[in-house]
Amino acid sequence: MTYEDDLQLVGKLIRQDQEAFRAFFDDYFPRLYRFVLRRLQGDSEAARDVAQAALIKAVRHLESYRGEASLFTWICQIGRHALSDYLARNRRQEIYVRRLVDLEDDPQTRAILESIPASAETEPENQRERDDVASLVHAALDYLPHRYAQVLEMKYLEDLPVESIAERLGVTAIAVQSLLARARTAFREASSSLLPSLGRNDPRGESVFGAQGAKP
Amino acid sequence: MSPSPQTGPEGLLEDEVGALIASAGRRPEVDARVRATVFAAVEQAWQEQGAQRRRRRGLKRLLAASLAGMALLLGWRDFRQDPAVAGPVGVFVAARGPVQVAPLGARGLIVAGDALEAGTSISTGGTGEVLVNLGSVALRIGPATTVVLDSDGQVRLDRGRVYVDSGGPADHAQRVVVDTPLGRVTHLGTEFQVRLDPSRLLSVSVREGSVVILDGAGRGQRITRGQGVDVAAGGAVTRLAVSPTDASWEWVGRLLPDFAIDGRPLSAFLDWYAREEGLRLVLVPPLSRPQVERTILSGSISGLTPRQALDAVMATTRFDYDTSTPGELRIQLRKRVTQGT
Repeated sequence: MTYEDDLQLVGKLIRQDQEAFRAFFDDYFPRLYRFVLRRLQGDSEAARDVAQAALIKAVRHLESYRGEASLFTWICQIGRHALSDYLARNRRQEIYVRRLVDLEDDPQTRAILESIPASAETEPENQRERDDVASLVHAALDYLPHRYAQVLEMKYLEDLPVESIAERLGVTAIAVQSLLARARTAFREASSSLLPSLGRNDPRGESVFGAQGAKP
Repeated sequence: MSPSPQTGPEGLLEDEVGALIASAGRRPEVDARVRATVFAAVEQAWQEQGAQRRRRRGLKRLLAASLAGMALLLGWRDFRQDPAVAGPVGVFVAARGPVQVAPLGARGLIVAGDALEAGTSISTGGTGEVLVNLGSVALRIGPATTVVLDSDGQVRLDRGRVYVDSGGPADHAQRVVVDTPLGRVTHLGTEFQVRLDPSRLLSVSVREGSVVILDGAGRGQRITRGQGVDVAAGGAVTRLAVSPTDASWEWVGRLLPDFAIDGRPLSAFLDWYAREEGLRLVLVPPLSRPQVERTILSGSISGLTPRQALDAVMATTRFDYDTSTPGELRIQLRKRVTQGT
């Protein structure tokens, strides 16, 4: 399986297509920035430096992208290295160790974030859990294709009717309904597996992510 | 009136998707000044890289033009008489046993990484084997074989056997043609074996993907995974079944190309292993393809046999493998041991 759209975008970047570069930056920078920001406990200045270093490295090594994983996964991997470098330089690793980041860096959680979905059986019991849920929902949205996340936010955060979304996106209302259906499915698939990791019991009585998310 | 609530595959109501997204609120926005600063820095790096790429291309063209000019001046080659593509067509990767390569060049020897020019002939003895890369395609040359690398992507098999692995569907764009006196074999991806017996029998078998065999009379035969075909000197064609785990593939595994795992997804490694062993990769639900794609590996498996590599790699993941089902490599989530009990 290859990521043809991502490979095409990278091909355009290699051919120095300015429009493609703008689209690439607008799509990937905010997601990468949030990816890094979550790992830096909200240190926005550090997140800017790390995200910038990662994107510069990415554009210098575009030829090495093979389309075996999504472009965002590939960029996140570069982001992880940039983050390690930053933390090593600044000797502040211990400050940033946090349960949520551990969870999101878990290979399985990462995989789920990429394929995206959710169970919502119980309400979060405390603020920290709510924060974790919100962060993981944000992470899930970041891992979704840009168009999916965009349409879900228009629908559920801005509460726009389908017709208005269609107008904004320049497509028909039917196309928006279809896009919404696909986006909901993608989000549902990821979040249904992801949220039990925060400590919710999954229907089979075991936590997907083991000890960190399991309840006694 | 609104219809009854719809549920998704995991039983989550559609309304709950909305509620979850709404409760999480907006994703943190990137400050416009931060965006502008980073955009400028990344754009500059991107443009510099592009300029560097153009310079490299220009230098290569200049070098090629200079070499061509020198070759014409010195009379090394009459290009009008030989339209074959000159220059490197492959890279020598590894060999074992008795092997002859001609021409050898000024040094009189060949080592891993050396370029192979168009027209290079490679012959192996009874226990010799050679691995060369033709672009992204791996060509394994079996014992008692003679091949000539005619031109870019074109190999002439005079005797013996070769195995072609294009590396998977992603590399379908690169074609390799194997010419024999009894027919031409063109792959449509991805792994196949061509054998030319001393008795002038051409045998082609496909482990993955499909190939087309064009005989001297212009008749085409297409065979796919698990199939084989024998073409006799008189043109008689016999089709047969050749399992991807058939003993006739065993020699292929003796000389493996290195597979670099560092920074690559687990799925790429599993695809490679399954290809090498002629197995079908099966992900046992609830494990899904994205999960193995997003597990990024690090380190090296250099020097390990495929099975040793599989053991080493899987031990670092949260997945188990099972090869007890014939023809299948089954991957599943590792069962957890509950803590604190």
